[in-house]
Amino acid sequence: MPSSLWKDTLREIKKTLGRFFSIFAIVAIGVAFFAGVKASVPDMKYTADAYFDEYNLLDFRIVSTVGFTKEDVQAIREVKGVEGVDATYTMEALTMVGPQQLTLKVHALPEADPRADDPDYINQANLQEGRMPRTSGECLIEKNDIGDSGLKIGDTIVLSSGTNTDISESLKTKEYTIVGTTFNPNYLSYEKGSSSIGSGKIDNYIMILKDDFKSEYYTEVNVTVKGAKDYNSYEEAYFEITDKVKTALEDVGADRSEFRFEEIKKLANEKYEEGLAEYEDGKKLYEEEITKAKDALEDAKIKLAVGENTLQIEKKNYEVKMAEGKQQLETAKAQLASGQQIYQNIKKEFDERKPQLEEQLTKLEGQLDTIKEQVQRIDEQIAQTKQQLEQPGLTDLEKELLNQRLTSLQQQKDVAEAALPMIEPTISAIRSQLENTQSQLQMMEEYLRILQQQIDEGERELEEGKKTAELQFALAEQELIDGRASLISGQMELAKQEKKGLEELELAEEKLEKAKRDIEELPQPQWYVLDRHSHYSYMDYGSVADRMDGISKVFPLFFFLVAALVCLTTMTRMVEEQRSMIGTMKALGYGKAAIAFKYVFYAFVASVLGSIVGCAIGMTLFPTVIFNAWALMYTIPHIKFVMQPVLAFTASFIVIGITMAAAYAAVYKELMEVPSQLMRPKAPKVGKKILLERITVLWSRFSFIQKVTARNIFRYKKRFLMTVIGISGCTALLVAGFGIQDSIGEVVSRQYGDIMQYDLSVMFDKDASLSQKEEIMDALAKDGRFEALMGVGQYNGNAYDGSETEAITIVVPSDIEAFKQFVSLHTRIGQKEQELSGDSVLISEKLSMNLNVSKGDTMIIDDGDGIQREVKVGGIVENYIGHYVYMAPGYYKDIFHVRQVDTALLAKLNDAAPEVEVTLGNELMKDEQITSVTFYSGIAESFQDTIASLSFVVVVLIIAAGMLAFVVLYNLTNVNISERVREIATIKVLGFYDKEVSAYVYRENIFLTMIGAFCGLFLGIGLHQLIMNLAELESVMFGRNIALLSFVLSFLITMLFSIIVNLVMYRKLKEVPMVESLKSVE
Amino acid sequence: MPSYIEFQNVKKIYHMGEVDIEALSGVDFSIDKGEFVVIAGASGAGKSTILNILGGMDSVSSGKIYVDGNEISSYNARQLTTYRRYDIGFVFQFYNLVQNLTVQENVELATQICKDPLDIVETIRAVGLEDRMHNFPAQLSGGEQQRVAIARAIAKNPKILLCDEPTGALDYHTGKAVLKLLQDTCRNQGVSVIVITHNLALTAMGDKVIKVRNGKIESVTVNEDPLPVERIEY
Repeated sequence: MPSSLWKDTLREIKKTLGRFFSIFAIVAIGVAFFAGVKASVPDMKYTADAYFDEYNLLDFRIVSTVGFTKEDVQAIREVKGVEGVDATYTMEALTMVGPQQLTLKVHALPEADPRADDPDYINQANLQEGRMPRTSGECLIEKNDIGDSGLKIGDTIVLSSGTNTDISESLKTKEYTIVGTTFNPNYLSYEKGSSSIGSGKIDNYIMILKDDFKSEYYTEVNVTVKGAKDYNSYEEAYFEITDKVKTALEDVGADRSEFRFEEIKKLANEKYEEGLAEYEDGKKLYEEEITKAKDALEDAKIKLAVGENTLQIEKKNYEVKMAEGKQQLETAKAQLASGQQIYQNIKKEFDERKPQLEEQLTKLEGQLDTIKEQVQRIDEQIAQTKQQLEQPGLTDLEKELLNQRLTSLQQQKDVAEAALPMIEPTISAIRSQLENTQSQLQMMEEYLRILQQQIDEGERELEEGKKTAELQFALAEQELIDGRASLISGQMELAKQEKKGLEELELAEEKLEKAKRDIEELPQPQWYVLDRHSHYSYMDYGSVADRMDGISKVFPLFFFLVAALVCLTTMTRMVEEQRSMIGTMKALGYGKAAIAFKYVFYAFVASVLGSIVGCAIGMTLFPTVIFNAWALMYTIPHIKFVMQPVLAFTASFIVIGITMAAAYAAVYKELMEVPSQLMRPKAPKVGKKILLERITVLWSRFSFIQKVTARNIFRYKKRFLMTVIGISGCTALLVAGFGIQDSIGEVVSRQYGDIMQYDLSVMFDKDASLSQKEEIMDALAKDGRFEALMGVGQYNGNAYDGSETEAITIVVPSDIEAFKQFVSLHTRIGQKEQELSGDSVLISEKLSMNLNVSKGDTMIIDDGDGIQREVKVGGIVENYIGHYVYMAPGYYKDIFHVRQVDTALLAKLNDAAPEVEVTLGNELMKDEQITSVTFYSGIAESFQDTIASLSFVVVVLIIAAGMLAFVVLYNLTNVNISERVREIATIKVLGFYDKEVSAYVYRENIFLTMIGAFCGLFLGIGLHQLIMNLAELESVMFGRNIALLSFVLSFLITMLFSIIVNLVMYRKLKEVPMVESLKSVE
Repeated sequence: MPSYIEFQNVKKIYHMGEVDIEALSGVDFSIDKGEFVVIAGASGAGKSTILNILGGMDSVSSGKIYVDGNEISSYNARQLTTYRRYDIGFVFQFYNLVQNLTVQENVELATQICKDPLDIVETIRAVGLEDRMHNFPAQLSGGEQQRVAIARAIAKNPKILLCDEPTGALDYHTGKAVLKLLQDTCRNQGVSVIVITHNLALTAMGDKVIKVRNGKIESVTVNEDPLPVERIEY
């Protein structure tokens, strides 16, 4: 290669730094993305593996349904290839922190101060604060930054078993003081798997001394393998080592477990018999109680009848008595009336006769008086006469005369006096008659008065008697009514109790039957030798890393495509500019290779430099960013970079190859022409009518600047493609970035607002009876703080997919209609309501994706007892957090052979204020039959915090989008300006102002940017879907929605990038000299 | 009272690195309204510099230039653009048509920014291209393209028509036709036409002939009886 060619090439680079920079930058970005994202996968895995090795993570965890004896452990230790053996215990336990219940996994530390270099000290604690436990009753707890449990060093926790066996059967003490916080390679993430007690999810773990466990058998054996640490456990070579040991261990297991089968079966049968006896007792008790209650009711019924009868008789008696009294009264009244009549008659008569009699009397008395006077007068005359007689001197005649006279006087007197006795009796007769009549009247009056009095009294008595009797009757009747009512309610209660008791008995029977079946189907005890493929944290973290690998396949492809297009357009322009130069070289006798060399070499230098910079930046920046992003959710120490020369070279070679190929493609066409043609100016590209012009209506409305823009856009297809692809990529990245925020941000409000519409759930104790549950529900239903509540059956089970299992929650509502008010079962797309039917289940969307089942398929689940059942999937429902299987009660019975029982209570509150929740939680937890109370506002908050920290991803994507946009637009503008310098100069000469000139050029940029951005919006939807799929956690589905605002923002930011580039290029445009217009065409 | 166009001791010095090149070293001349002026000189004599400065594409180093009573030598960049926009029509040696625009649209490109443009169709008809109105430049011959360029320039209804070697890229006959068009425009519309050429044969047709040499005016000759284009031979 002649040195002049080298010089020319190098000077060319110096002269056209902008162009050189375009290629360099896009290559650097592409390589950085590809190598960076790709490198982060091994980096993540390498870092995790180093952490595993440092803290001696188990290679195998051996579990068995029957535990391990010392002999078993010895047998394991003797297996070839085994390095460390830690026969240990684990258990699940519950503890209360304030009103919140935590489900803990309890692990054992082998001794008080275990040595890190002891091979038997497996899953070592990575102490963060405090100290290691030294004595019984001390524990370590996981250092927990995110799901802050409120526990700290010095606190004491009290453990309970969460089942009906007392925890003191398993542990020596149930109180533990926290002496330190730790991490453990066994648990990398805050997701710790499912539990069979409490909320169904393990919230935290504690590590206590092995001596605190009381158990005949070890519950599990952790094993490490010799030489396994030399390999990265995320690579195949590691498993080549461990698989050999695994087989050996399984063989040991098969031998050891055989003879314990019968023993276990016996134990199970005994338990069953026990249960059966209990059932029989219960049944007898039930029958007795029911009979007793029935008898009591019968008694009450009889008493009521008697009472009714008595009342009836009493009433009759009363009526008779009343009639009698009335009769008597009537008689008396009649008597009175007749008496009065008589009295009146007599009185009338008397009154009539009285004056007559009195007159007669007066007359008679007058007569009497007259007679008496007569007599007196006679007497006086007699006396006179007698006196006269005595007078001396009286002749006899005289005497005679006098005597005569005396005699006549005497006679007269006698006559008068004889009349007297005749009158006097008459007077007294009349008088007595009068008096008699008077007194007779008086007597009669008296009699009548008494009679009247008697009548009055009689009436009053009658009235009073009536009143008393009525009152008594009313009372008696009320008593009867009450009696009847209580009889009816008693009957109802009896019926209810009878039914419920029967149900409970039936349930117990079903459970017994199930237990019997289970025993019959009891699998041979088996050792499960679980290697790291079954290790939750290992797999979880590995799959996260692999997901990054997925992303690294998509992004770079895109950047490479843009790199190729950028290089192609740049080089094409360069070749066009140097057309005559190429012609001259040809004429001078240089070969095609020598001529092409300059351009290919140009691209080579740019891409090599770009690759170096891209690798250097990308392979440190991206792994760090990605690692730190996941570090929010994983407890892994600092990233360790692993050298990946193969990746660096691969990435570089690919990009360098692409750019060189693009450069060659650009120069190829010119190389084919003869020198004479090349030295002549290239015939200008013929202006062509574009399709748009045929739509005259539209075209004629265009100003010709718009026309030029339209023609230019469609004339240069490579540039069109490059810009549209590049810009659409930029917008897509933005849409994805903002979309991630939208989707993740909405998960919480969707899950705990739209789907689960209840505010809290209450778990009943496993052994709470139906009536106890009903009591609680009745009490709560009356509580004014609750808006609504209902019971559901909720079981922590598993769904199976080949070797993988997914922890699921089976929800069986007691009332399908009422359930709709608490949980909205609908599809995500279309929001179509899904009905629970009698022959299929509804499953949550993420579960369907993980298991790859869809509507109409069947799937295998259990309800926590490990017995697998096949169910039909009737629909997929929207759900974001956790896996749910919803079943109608009938279908549940069909599948599990046990009827639906309420195991939990869902409730809506009238006011879900935090204070209300705290008091309510405390109150509820006091009830012995309630094991846990979960408020969803708390869960929603902590989840929100966790995912909010992912928003930095958005920043990374926006920066990437910005870089992409800048490179592409810079290149486009650069090429456009250099190609159209003459045109630009001409319109300047024509008198276009600077602004008009830039508008003339930029209109095209802006329009292309808009097309690109528009396409990008759609591309973004796809990209977003992809990222969400890859970034999702196993049991969490992120939303797939992107807010309208995000589209608008993405579009606007893309336009902003375009405007910024345009502003930067404005200077260059301004500097285009007008004299260019006078130069001849090259 | 200066003439319609007046150059007063105009100097233009280009700074090429450390070397100063004096392109114009004191140029004085004047042109009247409606005159057909030919500025002639050899390559590098400074005639293009005169054209650039008069066309408002470049500024002077010293001296004054008046056009229609305005001192354009004191204009800033924006004023110069406005000056080009309204007062100058430019005909380039290589036509400088926008390849993407049809004949009509190329003319429109100029007229759309003018205050008082001529009728486009009339103008195109005047240059004899009414049949090619909707053709693209690449479909036209060189002479036709130059006529489009002239149409574009005169449609602006400028005060001055500046033509840089208008026949330079054309054959003899076509060149003559173009020159005829220019002369007619000058005569019929009263526009001052300034043709810059190295071809001394064209001087015969100018009302005034300005010869330039080494950045100076060699001579200014007023041609009392300019020849019509048909009689010029070159």
